[in-house]
Amino acid sequence: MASKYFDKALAGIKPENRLFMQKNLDITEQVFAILKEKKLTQRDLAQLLGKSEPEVSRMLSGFQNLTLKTIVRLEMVLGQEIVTTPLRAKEKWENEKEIPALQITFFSSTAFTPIDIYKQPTSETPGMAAYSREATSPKPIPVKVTFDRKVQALS
Amino acid sequence: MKNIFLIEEFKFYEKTHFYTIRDENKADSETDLFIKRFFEENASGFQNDYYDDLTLILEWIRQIGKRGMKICSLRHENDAKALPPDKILPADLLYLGRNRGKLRLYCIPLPPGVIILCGGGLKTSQKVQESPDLIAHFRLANQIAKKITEALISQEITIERGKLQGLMEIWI
Repeated sequence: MASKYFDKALAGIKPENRLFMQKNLDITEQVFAILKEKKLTQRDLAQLLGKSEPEVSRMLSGFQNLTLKTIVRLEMVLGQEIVTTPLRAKEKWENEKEIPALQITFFSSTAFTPIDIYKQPTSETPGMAAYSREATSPKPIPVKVTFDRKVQALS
Repeated sequence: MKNIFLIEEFKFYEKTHFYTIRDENKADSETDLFIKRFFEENASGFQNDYYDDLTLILEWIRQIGKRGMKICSLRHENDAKALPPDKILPADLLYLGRNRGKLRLYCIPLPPGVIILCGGGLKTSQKVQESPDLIAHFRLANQIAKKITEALISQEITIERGKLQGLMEIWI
């Protein structure tokens, strides 16, 4: 039988306490994810920061009041962003979402032939038959670059 | 005479499943008794300095449930562990009452992804042995931890896909 009181009592937490813990744990999880990706241990991180292991452990406890200075230091030694704002994330997304077509060179998956997309693709262009049917404008084909770095033609 | 404690579901989250123990002669589990005690005192208008502590412990349970056991190191209490995690509370987290950080909830983590919650109370001294409110819960949690370790070794209890299976009762 599930708890009778847990949900009811948990609902009484002060929002600022919940938010404080959540944000701390978000940072902790992000740091752990970077450490895993870079195959680093907490000991390695301690060395990079010039701190002791217990200090680093405390830092990543989820209940430490991390200063901006500490976060920046972590980002510096790990070489990756840990914290970002919605505005910065949006800006990054907008910048990465659409790249001018002239910067992109397609490679046909069948013939590995580079296709200059300045030139209007035709049905003879290897791997581009589908595009050539739709391309009636002389403008370059607009493309979208998704977060996983795949290039998609926008129809 | 021996007491029988039943192992029952408490709360299941994506990454961690929480169980609790219940004395078969009582209606509520040890964990629910702990929550009820501090929650109801607050609800009745009694000035409860420990209510914030309680809700933070419960939030830890939720966060461990959602994020997994790796996000925190639980307090070592012999064979058992305790919440909240063994870290210093930041001085500027002043939302807590003046007696903050004195509540303890005992638990038994069984990686991967299972935690058995026991009972808890107020720690009023450096040594748990000198905290009258806590010592019984400390002893019970450690007895349960030993019995569960034995049951896991003998395979009377097994963990499959984050769920406990087998003989879900402990004789103390």
